[in-house]
Amino acid sequence: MSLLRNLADGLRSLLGKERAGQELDEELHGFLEMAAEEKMNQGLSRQDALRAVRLERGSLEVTKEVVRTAGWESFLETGWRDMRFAARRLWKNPGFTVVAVLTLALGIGAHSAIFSVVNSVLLQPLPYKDPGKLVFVWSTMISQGVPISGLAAPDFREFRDRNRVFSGMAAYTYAGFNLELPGEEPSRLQGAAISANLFSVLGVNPILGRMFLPEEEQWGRHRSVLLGYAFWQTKFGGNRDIVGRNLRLNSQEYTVAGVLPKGMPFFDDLPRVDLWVPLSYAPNDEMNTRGNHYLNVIARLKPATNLKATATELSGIASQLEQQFPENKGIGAKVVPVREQLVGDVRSALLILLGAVAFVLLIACANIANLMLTRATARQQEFAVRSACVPKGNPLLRANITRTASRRRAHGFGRHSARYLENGAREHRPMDDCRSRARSPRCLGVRASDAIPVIRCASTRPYASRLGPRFADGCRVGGGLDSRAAGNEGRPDDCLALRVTLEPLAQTA
Amino acid sequence: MSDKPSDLIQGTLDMLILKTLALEPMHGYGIAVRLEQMSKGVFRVNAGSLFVAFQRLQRAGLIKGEWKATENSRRAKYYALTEQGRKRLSSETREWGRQVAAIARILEAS
Repeated sequence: MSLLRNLADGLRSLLGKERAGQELDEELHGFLEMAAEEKMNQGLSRQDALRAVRLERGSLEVTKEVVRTAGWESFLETGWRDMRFAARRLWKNPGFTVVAVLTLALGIGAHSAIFSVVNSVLLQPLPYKDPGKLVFVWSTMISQGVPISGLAAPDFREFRDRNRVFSGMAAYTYAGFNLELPGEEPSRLQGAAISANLFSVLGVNPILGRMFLPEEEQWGRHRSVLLGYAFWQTKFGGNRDIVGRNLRLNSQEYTVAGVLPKGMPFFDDLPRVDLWVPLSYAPNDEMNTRGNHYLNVIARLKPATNLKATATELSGIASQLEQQFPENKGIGAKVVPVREQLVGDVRSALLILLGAVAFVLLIACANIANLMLTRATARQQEFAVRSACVPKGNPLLRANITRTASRRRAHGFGRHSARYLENGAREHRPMDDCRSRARSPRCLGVRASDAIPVIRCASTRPYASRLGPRFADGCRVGGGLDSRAAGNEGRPDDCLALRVTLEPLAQTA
Repeated sequence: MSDKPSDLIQGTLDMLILKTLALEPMHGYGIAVRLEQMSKGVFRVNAGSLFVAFQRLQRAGLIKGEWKATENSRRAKYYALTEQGRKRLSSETREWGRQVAAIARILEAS
């Protein structure tokens, strides 16, 4: 509730800035007058009374600024002003702007290019259910100098039936098909022969029809085909009646069992697979022997098993097979997580590349930072002015972040300071306090009311040379900035007054 | 460190303003004077802190302002406590009492 009121109030004062300002003006003016009246009742002249009130209660201008910047809406207002100023400065320094923008653009561009590759290759999950549990299983023939090879069909069946670590194990191999449609020229298709359970191991369901049945792995009942989504769309126009129709593949009639979902790349999808048939062998098929190592085997780990236990289990089965079958002499087994299999060695290369472009971006940032530093040095005078006229807190710091100097504040320096001098503020501050203020980086946040002790410091020997000319110069800068507002009441004069006051101080020191 | 007006303890200004307004609606200067009188000159509040506090309290819905004529037929904004402000004052007063008592106990412990 109070948050809403706060919001509404802030918006009102933001939109009705003039009115809110006038109201505050009137209220503060009344405050000042009432206080002065009381002093006058004690016998002071009006001027003395006003001065005394200012000393006691703070200057009207400073108070106004403090109240105005207390609400959240002033942050928006100054933020907007800062942005406009930043844009103006960039516009006025096209050389700097072009260099900065190009440097950052190159750094960011390179980084995001590499990152998008890393994202799609390494970070995006594979389109299978729980891909972290999927592994490839390979044979190894180290003694024959073959570190990795496919499985022989009989070996695959042994591993499938003997292991206790997989919830499912499936095989596939790529095969080409000739498709003959009536009235069309035959076309060549990329296909794959798969064990019936492959897609259930992957956790993929058909969008039409059904997956293969286990008995379709038997020779003679194997004339069944699954279509890929893209192939179904392009060749059959997404016709939903396709299921149950016959297709003539390699001069044999196959019945369409189902269609697979969109966006299901078959592993890396290289080559792109258009259709799948059951993996089955005719009696005495040469491919179905222990000597033919060509099956890709994928398996899903049981929830409680890990890679190490799986590797041990598979090696155990492999050595059982070695003892049982002479053809299996020297053949081991190896298990590789799917992502590692697909990404392979690219992983480390990509990460190194990502690191490299990250450093390029970092260097680009460092270069810009250096550039800014150089420019900041050139703007020292401007900072000196502004540090003296900022009322409170760290708007200057904020302003620098958005690279701003509000011209108004630059005028303000002359105005406030001249008023203080004119009022002959007698507030005494210990020298040490003053010195530390002048030197410390917090000087950036120095208050307008502090300008007096700082200026008074300037009249004392060790500090005059430091601060005097700088402030006097600063005032010239302020005056320069002010030139367009020369018509406004009193501002250039204020500056002149201050310069007149400061310069002799600096010289006498 | 004796008769010079001292700074307020952080965070107590709001409570003191609410207390001042509990008696009757008052304008900014009146509040400042009354704070000084009630504290027998110990606290002097500058206009900046005072008006920022008014803005804050108004936005929190604890006080509301209304322009009226003063006894010297000057126009001034009179602030008055809202129902919510009255509640806040009593809860803060209670909390303050508790804290002061606790601090006193610590300081007096030997």
